[in-house]
Amino acid sequence: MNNIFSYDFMIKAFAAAILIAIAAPCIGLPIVLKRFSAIGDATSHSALGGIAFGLLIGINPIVGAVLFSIAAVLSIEALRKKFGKYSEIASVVVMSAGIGLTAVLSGFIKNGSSNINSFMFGSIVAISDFELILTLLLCALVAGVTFLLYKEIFAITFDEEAAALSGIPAKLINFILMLLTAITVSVASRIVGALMISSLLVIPTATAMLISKSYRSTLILSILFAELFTVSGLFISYYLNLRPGGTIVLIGTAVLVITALVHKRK
Amino acid sequence: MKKILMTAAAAAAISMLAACGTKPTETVENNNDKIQVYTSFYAMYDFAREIGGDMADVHNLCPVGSEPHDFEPTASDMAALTEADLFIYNGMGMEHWTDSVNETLSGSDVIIVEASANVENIAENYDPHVWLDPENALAEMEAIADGFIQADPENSDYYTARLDDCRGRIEQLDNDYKTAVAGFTSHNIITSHEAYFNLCNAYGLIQLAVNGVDNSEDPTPTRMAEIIEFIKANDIKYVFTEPLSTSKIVQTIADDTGCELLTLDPFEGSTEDKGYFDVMYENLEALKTALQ
Repeated sequence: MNNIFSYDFMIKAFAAAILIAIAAPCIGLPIVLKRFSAIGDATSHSALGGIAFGLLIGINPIVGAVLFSIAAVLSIEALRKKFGKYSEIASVVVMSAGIGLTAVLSGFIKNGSSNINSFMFGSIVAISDFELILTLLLCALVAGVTFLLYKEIFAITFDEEAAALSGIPAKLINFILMLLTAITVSVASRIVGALMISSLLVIPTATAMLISKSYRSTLILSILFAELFTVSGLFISYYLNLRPGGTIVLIGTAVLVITALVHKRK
Repeated sequence: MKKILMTAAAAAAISMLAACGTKPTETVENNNDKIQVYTSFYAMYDFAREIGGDMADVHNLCPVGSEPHDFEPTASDMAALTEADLFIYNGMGMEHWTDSVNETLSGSDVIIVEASANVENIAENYDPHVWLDPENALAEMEAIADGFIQADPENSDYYTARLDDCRGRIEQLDNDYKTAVAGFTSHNIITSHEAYFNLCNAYGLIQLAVNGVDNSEDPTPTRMAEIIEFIKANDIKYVFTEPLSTSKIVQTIADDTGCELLTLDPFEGSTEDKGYFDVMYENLEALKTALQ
């Protein structure tokens, strides 16, 4: 078997995986702490609807995914308030709408219905230069916002009301966070797949939370875990002839379970 | 209370809109003498119209552009099918969904034709795209003609004459392929969809496919690497895609190896209403470009 790095497609796959693994936990940590980990699933299923819509009317499917994802996060925010303490219903409702839209819209696609499959499970071995640049921009945006608004995001994830009282524009920060979630999920659906991205948002963060105590160390550790899952997932999928997306997610869940068993809760 | 009424009104408005959106199924009305024929997907549709000519109304179930492998008939499709004279499908696992259709139709007057039933040249792996071997296509046309004659015995001479006409064109097609293949310097084809075992069987070609036989699986990185190595080792210059699905994977392979893309059509659908013979001759031209 040839050297894994002798192929352009593998080098691009590694580059995209490393970038996504920086961006995903930056979004994942605040949404997990806000007890909102289901938003990834809800958004990614809506993104699939947007992809089908994009393929249908002939625009770039990622643009369709971004539009539908933004609509999804805004609807979740609006619905959440209606259900009070049962706010998790909102994600499930929006996810159902996304699945329904995907199923109905994909029935009308004349050209390339099989493309929908490649968005569900991603095509990390077939990344175009354009997609790599898009991933780089996404990563820079998400990491930049996380760095610049570090204190604000930290404050609203623990107590939105207290943050608002101390003068932080909680609604605006919340909105930015939702917007970034939508964009991350949309871009990542092309790379690791819409059905896989929510696990990359949640699993590294969850694993890091088992070990570290502070917000900062959880954030850093979750990025390291995400890098470990994606990079080792690509190596293993190449040498064992497995599907990359699923391999990455399974490594993540395995590491999470092992960490939970080994690490005694203090 | 007001809120409930508003919600109910909105729901009613939506359902009315939906009702307006549904096209009246032209297929249900049956006020001419032509026999009503339903086919599972485009290749069967084309064969049925070759045989049925002016004597039949042929309706295609799986819309062009949808994968025939993954299609599910709608409720209105099923309703129309129960009124049909003839239902034609390929079989051999091409259309996973026909089992439940056949079960529903069993006991009714609808005549069901499995076109691949008498096909003789079956590839080792039971690739269901049997019609890409012209001899098999003829066997399918014969099975379809039998179905027409059974459904409409009065016009049996008409259907037999149309079948004879097809037989002549199939022989011509087969001869043209054989002549061309004799001049090929290479016999390896790289395809996006593993659909050409029958074509390869008939003319001594070797296929290396990126996606599986039902065209839904993206390859593993290992498989990608194997294909790229094969292309380099055999000095291959062209990679084949399909008209109805643009594959990012094939594009990536072409970019990484410097190959050019050509179209090879498995004849599962045509947005330009092309017939079997048109598509087979276009495929032959593409093969000549790649292999001569």
